[in-house]
Amino acid sequence: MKREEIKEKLKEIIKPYVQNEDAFQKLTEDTNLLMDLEVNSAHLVDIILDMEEAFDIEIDDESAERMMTVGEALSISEKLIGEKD
Amino acid sequence: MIGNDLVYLPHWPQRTGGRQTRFLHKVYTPSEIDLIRSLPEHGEALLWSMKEAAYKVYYRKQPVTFYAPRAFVALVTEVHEQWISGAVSYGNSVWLTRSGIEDDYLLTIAIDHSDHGVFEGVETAWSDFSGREDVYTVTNKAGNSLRILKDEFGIPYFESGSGFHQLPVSLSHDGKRLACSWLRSDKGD
Repeated sequence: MKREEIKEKLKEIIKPYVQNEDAFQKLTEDTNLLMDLEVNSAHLVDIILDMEEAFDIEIDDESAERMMTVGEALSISEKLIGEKD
Repeated sequence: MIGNDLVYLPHWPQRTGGRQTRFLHKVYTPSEIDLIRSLPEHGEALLWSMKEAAYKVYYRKQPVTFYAPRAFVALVTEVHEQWISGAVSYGNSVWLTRSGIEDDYLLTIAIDHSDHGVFEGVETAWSDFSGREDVYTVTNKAGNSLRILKDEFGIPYFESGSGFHQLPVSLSHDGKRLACSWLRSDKGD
């Protein structure tokens, strides 16, 4: 799966939990999930669970801890998907 | 230092089956899962809000966002009629918590361990939440209107004539209600 494909899938996953639509429209890899998109921190767990299901990966605590921006979520997904192939 | 966290219990997500199991193991330690199962109700939301409130106290000193719910370990120390006392640890830091439920809102206050016993000095003002603002205004029990500003890290403080007041305040909302909690100073703020 290419980075752009992963990004599109990731946007679909994140969308239902976004509270700041404007920030979502202007989304970049630097966009912070909590601060910019205003995702409720309780829903960060749901995003992680959704990513695991969508990409058939397992995100451990150490990886999840760094997952604050769209770019970091993308890099973690890309790495874990790569390790699986 | 103070941190608060608000959970509207009817909106706490109800997960089922395998997803619920995976959720529990992502957020709670095995001992916390045992604790949740031993509580009559709202255990997940209670421990979540304890961890969040403690994280907010930590963030005031180390303003770097990270996501490590299992690293903030919560335990319940006493169940009172009106509140639940607990403690949360992260590394060598320990915070004391007090949680209460009113009108389906679960509110947890966390304070530094060294502030033991000052929960009586905590005041919480409630208001309707109308979206994220740069400045919030709350009214304290004495009827005074207080303005809350945020610093560059998003940490809220009461405003004073000379810029940021050193009296910290913590904000938490569920999209409808906003809870502002602070430790009253000697000046009666």
